[in-house]
Amino acid sequence: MSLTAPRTISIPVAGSTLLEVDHLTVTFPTSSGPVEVVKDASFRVESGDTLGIVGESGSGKSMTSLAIMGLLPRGGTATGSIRLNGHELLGRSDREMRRVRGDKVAMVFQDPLSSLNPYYTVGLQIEEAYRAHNGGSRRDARRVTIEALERVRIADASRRVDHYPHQFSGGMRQRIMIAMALCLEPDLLIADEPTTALDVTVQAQILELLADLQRETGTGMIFITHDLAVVSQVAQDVLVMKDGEQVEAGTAEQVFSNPRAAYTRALLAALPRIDDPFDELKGTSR
Amino acid sequence: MTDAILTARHLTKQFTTRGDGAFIAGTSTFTAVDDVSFEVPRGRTLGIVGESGSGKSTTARIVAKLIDATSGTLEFDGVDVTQARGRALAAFRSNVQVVFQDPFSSLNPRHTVEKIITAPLDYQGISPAGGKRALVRELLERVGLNPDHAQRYPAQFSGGQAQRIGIARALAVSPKLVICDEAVSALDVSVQAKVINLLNSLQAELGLSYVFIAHDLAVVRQIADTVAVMSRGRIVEQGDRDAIFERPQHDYTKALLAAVPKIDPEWELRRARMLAEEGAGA
Amino acid sequence: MAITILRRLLAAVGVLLLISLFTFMIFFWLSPDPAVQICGKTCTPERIDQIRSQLGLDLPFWQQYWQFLSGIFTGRTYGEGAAAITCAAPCLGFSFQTNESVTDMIVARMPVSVTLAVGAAALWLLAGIGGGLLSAVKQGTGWDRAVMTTALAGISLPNYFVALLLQYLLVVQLRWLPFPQSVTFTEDPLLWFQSYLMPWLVLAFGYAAMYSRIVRTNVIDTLGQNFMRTAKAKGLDAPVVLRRHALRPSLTPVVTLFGMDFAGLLGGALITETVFGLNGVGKLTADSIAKNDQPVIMGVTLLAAALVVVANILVDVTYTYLDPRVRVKSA
Repeated sequence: MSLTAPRTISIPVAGSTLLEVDHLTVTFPTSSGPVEVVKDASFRVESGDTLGIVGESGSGKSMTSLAIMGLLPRGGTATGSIRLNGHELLGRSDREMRRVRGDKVAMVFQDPLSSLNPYYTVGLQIEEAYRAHNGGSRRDARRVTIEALERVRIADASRRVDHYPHQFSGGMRQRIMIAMALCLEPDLLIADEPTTALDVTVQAQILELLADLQRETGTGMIFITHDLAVVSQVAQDVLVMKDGEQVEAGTAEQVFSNPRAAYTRALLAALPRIDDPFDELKGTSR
Repeated sequence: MTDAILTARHLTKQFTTRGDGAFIAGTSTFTAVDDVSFEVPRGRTLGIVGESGSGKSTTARIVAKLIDATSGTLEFDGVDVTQARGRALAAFRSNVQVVFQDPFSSLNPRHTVEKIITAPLDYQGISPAGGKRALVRELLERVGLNPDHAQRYPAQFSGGQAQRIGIARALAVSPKLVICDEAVSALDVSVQAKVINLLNSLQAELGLSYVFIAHDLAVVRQIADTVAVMSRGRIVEQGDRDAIFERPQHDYTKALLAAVPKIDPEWELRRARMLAEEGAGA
Repeated sequence: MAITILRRLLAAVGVLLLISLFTFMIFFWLSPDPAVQICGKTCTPERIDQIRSQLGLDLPFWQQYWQFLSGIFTGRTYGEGAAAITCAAPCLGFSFQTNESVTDMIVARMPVSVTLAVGAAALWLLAGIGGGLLSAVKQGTGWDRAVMTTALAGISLPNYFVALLLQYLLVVQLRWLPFPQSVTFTEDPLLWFQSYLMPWLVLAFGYAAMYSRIVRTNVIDTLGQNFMRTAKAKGLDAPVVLRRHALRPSLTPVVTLFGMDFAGLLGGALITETVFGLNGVGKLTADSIAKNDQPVIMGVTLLAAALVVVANILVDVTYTYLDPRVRVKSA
């Protein structure tokens, strides 16, 4: 790893439990009484591994990630337990959660253009994340920022650092978001539909980049997506959600080769495939 | 030569961006669609795939005659419609309908489903034989919706249902060709599959032809008979669906196909066997 | 950038020429003959003709317009010989009712209008932005309702009504302020301030009401943007998130609005100046309209138009610097 940030980097031991979520329930008040958008979800994320959370719209997958970040929209409450490296996150004050956000748990969102502030250079937006947690001079922050941009393979980083978000392509913007998330060496990266808004060739590049960076840093990752094929490629463990409920959980291999839940089977059956092996397979297996 | 319902020859569309009169000087020309030719076989589906900026949506808009091409010709059912205006354009519109990507923003939220579906009839000045109400019921039934919901508003439907309303509206004037511009892209995968099945069965029943525009190659594979791959305004490769997907010739097509994420075939095979055994056991 | 600004300035000159032409046309055809006004009640047709030829009023339209236009740049002389009246450049016309050059009349009243505009602008920016921000951040609370109710009052109550109400309350009933008097700052700073306070407040109230509503909408819109979520996800402090990420996108559109409003006010606040008896450009306009003193009306009309045109250019230039999406072309 090329990063020479002025802080010790501890690469977590792979296989140690990073995040433990138990009986997580997220509730929103509505005019017709409280609505549970996440119901009794429990899962683990191991250091250096990726947990894929799959679901269609309204499945509660994004709310799960916002609950971990402590960033639920107004009115939302989370109950249960969310432990990061053994420390409980639920019930912490916003002030305490601010120290966790960005530094311990970072997030990459779906639409990179609207997720970056159009009024500031990308450099400033990465620098401020670094300085919010490490303090230090602008010069240090700028150096770390340029290094982070280089790590996500943005060419000519020392010049591009002073450019504005609209001057980058969609894929480049997502790289910038990833650089922003990783410049603080978080223990856990939550990627919420990070490639959904991107073209398929760009998606492939971003997925490869995320995998490479994860190998380098040993960061644990939660990868949220509606795309089963994507999740089958990036995740070791998979959680399938529907209407706020966790309908299936297991290793990727289990979930894709031997799904137990009828919903998972239906999803897999509905998935359009580019190389339709199913038609032929149905023939051979009968 | 197959019987083509629609033939596009050398379509080119250039957009000229003028300076804003204030701070951006001069004009620049951008070629969104560059010398594009294709045919839509009667009763079949032409899939147009491409990434953002490939010109596929501009092509869709030209074919639907929502915009005019800068040059090139468009022939529908043996008639040159490139310059169609007035009555000729109205006739074209009653034969060619469009289904758009976002079902909700393309349905007027203040109108009932019945009013939405019959709007194209009113524009065309057509009064159906059995009366509007009967036609709406028939169309709703055809697209798999409850005919009793004709007096509801779009907001009372889910995304997939709203897209079915969009399809029912397109079918109201009994078109020969339906242009689907990313028509299933905004839908969840299980809903998407149902809408694709619906489009396929409508084609079989009514003999419709489709131009199906999508960025998702897997979806195109499900529905298209012939495929055109677009990149930077040009068609880089076109041909029979299986040829394109199984024996792509152009490097761009190959790269595009390689980039599509796939589930490990080994897992797929095991699941297929497992499902087959369970099916046999039950 | 320099070239584009130059192009804008050239375009502005064109616009101003057109405005001057239209204004001149309106007064040329629609207003009563100034010669009759000058001549008075006991007047012979011969005398009127004499005045007309003296003032050049018998000349064709284009020649008169040309005289008016060149007068702005080179000054002009009305009449001949001993009775000649010279109007130095920039000559916006000459009022035969007051025997003053229009330019001099405007210049004499400008300080009052500028003082009024600057003071009111400071107040309304403070109250409008502050109120809007408070309302947006405390959306749905009592604060929000209080600010928005006040804003509604500010928008719906007519200026003169607020002015009279305020005068009655602060001067007559509570006696917190003396009767406004026209003193300069150097004569009596305290009295000067006290005299301007009410006009400032009255003028600022309406604008602040509008601005607070706009700022509130903008801030609420910005708070819902995805980049606000990103800022929070980085672990930034709430005040930093608000100050750095919400404020700038919310306030940039206000710049455009402010530039135009401020320029409009420099051209005179007709009602406020009249109600408070402030001798500014607005009151000059009102008085001239009452007296049908057409050279003056034309002069202030042109001035107001010029101010708006110039403000428009300044606002556009400022905006390019404030919004990088306009300033920097995409790659």
